[in-house]
Amino acid sequence: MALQTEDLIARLAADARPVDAHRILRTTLVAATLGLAAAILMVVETIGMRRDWATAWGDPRVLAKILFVLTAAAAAALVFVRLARPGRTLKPLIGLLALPFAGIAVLASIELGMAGPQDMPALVFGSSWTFCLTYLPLYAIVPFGALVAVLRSSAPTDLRGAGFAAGLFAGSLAAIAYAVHCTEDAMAFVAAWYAGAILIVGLLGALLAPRLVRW
Amino acid sequence: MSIPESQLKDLMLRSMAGDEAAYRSLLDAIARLVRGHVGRLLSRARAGNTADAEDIVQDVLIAVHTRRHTYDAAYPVGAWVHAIARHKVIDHLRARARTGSSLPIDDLEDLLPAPEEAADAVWDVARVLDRLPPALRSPFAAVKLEGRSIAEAARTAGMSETALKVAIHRGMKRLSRIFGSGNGVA
Repeated sequence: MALQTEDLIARLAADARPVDAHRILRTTLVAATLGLAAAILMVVETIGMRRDWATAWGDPRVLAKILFVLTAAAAAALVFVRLARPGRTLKPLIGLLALPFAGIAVLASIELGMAGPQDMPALVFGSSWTFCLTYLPLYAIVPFGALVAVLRSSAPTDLRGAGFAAGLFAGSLAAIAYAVHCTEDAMAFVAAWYAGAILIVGLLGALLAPRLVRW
Repeated sequence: MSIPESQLKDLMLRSMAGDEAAYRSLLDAIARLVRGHVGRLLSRARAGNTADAEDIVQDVLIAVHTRRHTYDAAYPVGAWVHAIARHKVIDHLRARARTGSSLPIDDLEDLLPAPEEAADAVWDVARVLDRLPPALRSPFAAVKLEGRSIAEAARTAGMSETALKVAIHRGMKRLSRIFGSGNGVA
């Protein structure tokens, strides 16, 4: 390398400027908002909204579904902005990520406990579990791309962990968008297939991040 | 001249506010810190010569510059720098493994200290340095943080090697008094 370290330092120092300490937070917010808007737009344009929104609001199970996707997104967002900084690792934050999933699992088991054995398959599988598992992850592609762009301009050192958080965050945003369309309101369905689809995107994120995020 | 964490943080915060003189001193201090980190990490991975090391030091400085918005004021600057240096060393060793030399890359992550551990060590040493008499701070840091030889540090500090060894020994004893045992601090 021809450049001396001293000269490099002089050049970098000449580039001193006020730095925005909240840049990670700001860019994450922008990426998530754009990603969610794109996902909702795509859901509405491809598979359409559920037609019974006017009455669905009154159903506590629908509210539980919305609460689950929102808290899953919030937990993943908190972990994501932490792992965008160097030296932070996923392990101590796993509990926070698991919290919304544990919550919906508890609600689902209460629901199944109150149902008769003949109703259980209907509650768990509904009529569209394969569709949910296939299509929900596709709506996560745009938010995931936006979050990867945030990671590339940050300094994550636990790339698998950061990729996992980015995937869970993108998957949760896709789940919010998918809920605009989906009429499966059984909590058992949400606990199995919404959660499963979000986890699939999370695992893909962990798998892809080491290749996609180089800095 | 190595500087304690409290001063490093002060320089960092002033740099983030756009103070060019503070930023210059900060980069100088970070370069010295990184040289020690990189040298130690490379020798632990049994890899690299000094030319390689200086390349990585420059890479780390550029990363520090372009990613200074990722510094979190709740954490020590030393720990933040170490995490970036470790990332760059691993990156460099991976790239070299791809180009033919056969390093056991799978063991790399285990071989180099985990970020938290290393950060704690840097943090501990920084806190201890603050408690040392000012005259001993820089030679102690030169040897214990920057990985310099006793001879070199003694020359820089303008003291005899024997005097420096004694000083460092006292520093380490002080360290074990403060932390209960001297283990775990490189």
